[in-house]
Amino acid sequence: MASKMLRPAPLFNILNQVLLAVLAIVCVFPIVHVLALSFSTSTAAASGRVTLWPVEFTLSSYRFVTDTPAFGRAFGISVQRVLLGMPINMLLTVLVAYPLAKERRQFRARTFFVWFFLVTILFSGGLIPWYMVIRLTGLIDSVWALILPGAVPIFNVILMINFFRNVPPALEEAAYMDGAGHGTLLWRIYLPLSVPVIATVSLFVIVGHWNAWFDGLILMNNPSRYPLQSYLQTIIINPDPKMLTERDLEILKVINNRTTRAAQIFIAMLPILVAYPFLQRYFTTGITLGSVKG
Amino acid sequence: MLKDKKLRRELPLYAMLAPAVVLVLVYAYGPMLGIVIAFQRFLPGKGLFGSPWIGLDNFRFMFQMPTIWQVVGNTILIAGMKIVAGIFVPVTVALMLNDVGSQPFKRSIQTIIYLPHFLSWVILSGILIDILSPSEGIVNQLLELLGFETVFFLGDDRVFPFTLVVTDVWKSFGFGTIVYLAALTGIDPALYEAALVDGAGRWQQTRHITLPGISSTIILLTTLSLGNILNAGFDQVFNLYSPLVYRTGDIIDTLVYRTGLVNNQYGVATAVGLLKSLVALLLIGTSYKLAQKAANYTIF
Amino acid sequence: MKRAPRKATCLAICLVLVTLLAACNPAGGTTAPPTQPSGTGRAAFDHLTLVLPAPYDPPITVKSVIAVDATVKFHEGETIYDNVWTRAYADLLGIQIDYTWVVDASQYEQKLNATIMSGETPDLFHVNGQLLKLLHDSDLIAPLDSVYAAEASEATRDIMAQDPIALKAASIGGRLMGIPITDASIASAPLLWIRQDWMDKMDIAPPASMADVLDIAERFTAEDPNGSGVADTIGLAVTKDLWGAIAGLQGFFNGYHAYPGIWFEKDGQLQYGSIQPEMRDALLALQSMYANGQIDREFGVKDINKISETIATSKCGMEYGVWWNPYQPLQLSQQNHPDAFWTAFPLPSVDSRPARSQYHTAVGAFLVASQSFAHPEALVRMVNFWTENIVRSEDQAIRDTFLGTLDAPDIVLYKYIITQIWEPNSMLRGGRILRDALARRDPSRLNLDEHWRYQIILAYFDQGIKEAWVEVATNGEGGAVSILEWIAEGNGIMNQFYGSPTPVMGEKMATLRTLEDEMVTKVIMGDPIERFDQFVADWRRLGGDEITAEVNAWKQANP
Repeated sequence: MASKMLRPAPLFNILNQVLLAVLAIVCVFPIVHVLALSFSTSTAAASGRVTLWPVEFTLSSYRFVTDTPAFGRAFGISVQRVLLGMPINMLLTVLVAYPLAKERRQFRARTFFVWFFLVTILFSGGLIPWYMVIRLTGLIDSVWALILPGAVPIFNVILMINFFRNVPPALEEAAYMDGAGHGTLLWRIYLPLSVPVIATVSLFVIVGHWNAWFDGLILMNNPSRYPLQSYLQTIIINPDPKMLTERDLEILKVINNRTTRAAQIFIAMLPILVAYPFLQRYFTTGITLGSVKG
Repeated sequence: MLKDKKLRRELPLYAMLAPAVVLVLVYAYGPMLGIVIAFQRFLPGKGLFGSPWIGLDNFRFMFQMPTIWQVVGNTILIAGMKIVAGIFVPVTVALMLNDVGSQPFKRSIQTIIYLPHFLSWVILSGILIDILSPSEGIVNQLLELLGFETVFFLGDDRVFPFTLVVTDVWKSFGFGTIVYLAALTGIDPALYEAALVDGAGRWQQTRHITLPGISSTIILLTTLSLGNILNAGFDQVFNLYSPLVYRTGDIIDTLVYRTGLVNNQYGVATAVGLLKSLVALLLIGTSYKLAQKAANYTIF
Repeated sequence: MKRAPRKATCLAICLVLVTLLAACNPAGGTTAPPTQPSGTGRAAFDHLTLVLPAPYDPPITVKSVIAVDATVKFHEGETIYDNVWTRAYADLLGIQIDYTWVVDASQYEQKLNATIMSGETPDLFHVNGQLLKLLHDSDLIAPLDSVYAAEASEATRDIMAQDPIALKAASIGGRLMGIPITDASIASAPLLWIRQDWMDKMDIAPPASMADVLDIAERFTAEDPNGSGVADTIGLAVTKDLWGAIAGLQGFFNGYHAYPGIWFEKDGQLQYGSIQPEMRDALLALQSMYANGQIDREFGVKDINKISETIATSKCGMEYGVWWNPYQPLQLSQQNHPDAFWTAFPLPSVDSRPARSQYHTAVGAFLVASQSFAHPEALVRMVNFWTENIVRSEDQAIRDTFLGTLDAPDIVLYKYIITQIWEPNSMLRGGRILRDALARRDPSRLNLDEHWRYQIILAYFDQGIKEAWVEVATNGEGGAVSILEWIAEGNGIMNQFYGSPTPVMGEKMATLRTLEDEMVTKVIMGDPIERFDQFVADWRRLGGDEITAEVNAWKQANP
């Protein structure tokens, strides 16, 4: 941990913190801009007068967003997706990572299974066969269509394998001598030692589920089944003026999409912003992690 | 018998893998049958096995596009630079963050740098056009203040690939930083204490303890990102490029997209995807071997 | 193909229209409040006078799919599956519509592809030209010649006849494969839009020639028309996309008798406009405008959103664009500067020959029937229902029932169906009737739509409601629509190629367009004009000649 390291020189320390602060400002800029837009009037937004502070402060965009019943419904489906998808992803990640983290002499089919999973990152049949399979398995319009096809996140599995491999063999052998089976080993030894990686992977999984939009649009036949980001996508993408018919012009709406969109982006980000610091606490409760191995 | 005993010991492992294997077989291997479309003139009514086979025509089509090699070159160059920057920046930031004593400061920075990840390229491109403008943008005003020439980041085709790389890193480095930071917390503190006793300075500590300590994570993340090499970022390029920078900014995906606007070509799209897969396989295979030989590290 | 086009174009507010709408809600004697349907089933429509065929008995079920934007609204308790249209189809025609799926317009094509590819073709649905060809080649859709001949009503035939190429575009190999979705093609013709208030202030006469256009650009750049005290204006707005409906360059090139991006007849052959020698002078003119700061130095990276900002902040007073530009984005400048007013002008020409605006057919989509569907005539009946009873209806009760009412302007009922076929001539005809009524101050012959515009235009002149300029500039006397009418009388030039992409076109056209846009952008920004000659040579060598041959072969086959 940092506290155990050689304490850096004060000058270095200050420089370091200043640099990081600058970096943070650079990263926070677009968010503040979006936030400022969401509290500005549409005229101000359209004329490019909004930078970092709301112009002609108004809450109308938020009122518009929260007054739309579809928004609340989509929000609920996204929550459902995360609550179902996260545990399933994590369970499968752990269940796959544990056997594959074994040495070949402990699990002789290891190489086969590693390649079995690896090939799927590299090759895909494209959108249409993917859709066909999901339809054949009867998941269209079900929240499971958003969960099962991506239930084994290979990237996260590989991360997890590499962390599992660093569990000291001595620990495992001792437990084995005491008659512990694989289940017990995983539950009592591997998992408690892997809190940071589980927190990290959970964050990725939550963010991934929360932000995914494409599958929702394609796999949900009924728009009332859209998760939040798919729903937002349909509002954020503006009609192409070239495609407008004479009649469309009559219905150009009161609300400027730009400010509404900003409000929606911000509301959609909120849950992650809330969950993040909570998970972050676990990143620092260290173990041997990707450590001095080999 | 010994053999049976070994098998019995392995059985729970198979059981653990079983649900995932079934799901992957159905949802990842099932659709892979679709790769045959690359060798067909795909007709929807005829389906996967009834459409006429046309051999390598789709690939020939792909390679006959007049600018295809320039576009392949752009794709590899942009993706390559993104990979290098994608190692360097997050590792550096993680090291810097790790040196910060104040926990609240550290946590706030860590949260903030992850934020741009949430904004889509549609939104970000609007902001970037503003701040990178040569006449009014804040970045160029800063450059002028410091006595530099202004740069047309989005309109100068010599600069554009670098603009892509920097903005991409800006959007995504928070992700890598989190993983590296987690890896850093795992380094045995005793090592630093020992180094301190030996009188090692900061640079030596970093070089001999910290970097080796996270080297496996670096290799791992880099190898995984190689898979994206030809996928140089459609959303980003599509939202930021213009005819001014086609020469250096056009990538395979954007070219295919523009071709797709003219014609429905499932076969060609699948052929392009297959080509990308093959190159990615080659690259991942190479780096796997390299990591094994050079660092004696097995990634998978 | 894998991703839908993401047009980050910002549809701006028309606060104006909606407030005005509330203000002059036509209670003005013309309408009674919409009649609430009293009965159920067929009785619910008894109060309407409709022309109907005998309904299917027993009723048939039609599987369809539809694109509905998330912004489309419904009456309380109604959905896309249950609304006035589904009830009318069921009760009046005996057609039970069953939407297999409903998706946002941006994802429609992708979703439709996935559905068709996985072997579940809907019974009746909406496709673009490429898919029409593909579905025809795959024997998935039924020829409609016989059902069209037997069932198409007079109104349907009349609307189809208003666009001479509509049915041709829907035919493959001489067979009618779909019902074309028609609209006014002339709507894509570019006009020249200029800030009238600036012209008045600076005492500038309407432009009569390209020389005048260049002169206006120069004065708008140099003479601080927005009165900001600093040189922050540009002469002509141009986007990085070059050929959009807003701040595009087609109109400028047309002024030099060049027709970029379209195929037109020259010496008995179809030729591609962008490689003709007339391009040269136009490019040189743009180049010098750029060099003199009359075109934004950074136009090469500015998309429509950025151009809209330039317009909103009164930093630009001239652009080439289509007739509806005042609705978007030009009205933004009026919101910030109440006196702003843009006027449309016919394209000025470089010489004594009048300039011809280039445009293309509005037919880009078709309604098709699956080959396995037993009742393809149901499609024609649904189209008839729309053309006979609704789209041209002057009956207030029918319009209220099927199109929408003014008390709920955000509920647009015709968004719930796939047969949104518009009369190609209605815009020009409606505009003519409206201008006539305005001249006589007599709204008695106006339909709901025209009446609404009539009141808005009067609000501008009588009550000084400046926001109403939008309607004045488009539908008022001398407005954009009247110019379109003039263009339609033989003063325009239409893209003569309207088939599905030919083989080499599919392969090479994307790259050739890239070369073209790159060349135009770079020449404007100062590359030597020889680059254009180089482009012409490259274009022909890299497949352009083959494409020209294919296009002419197509022309032979589809005279």
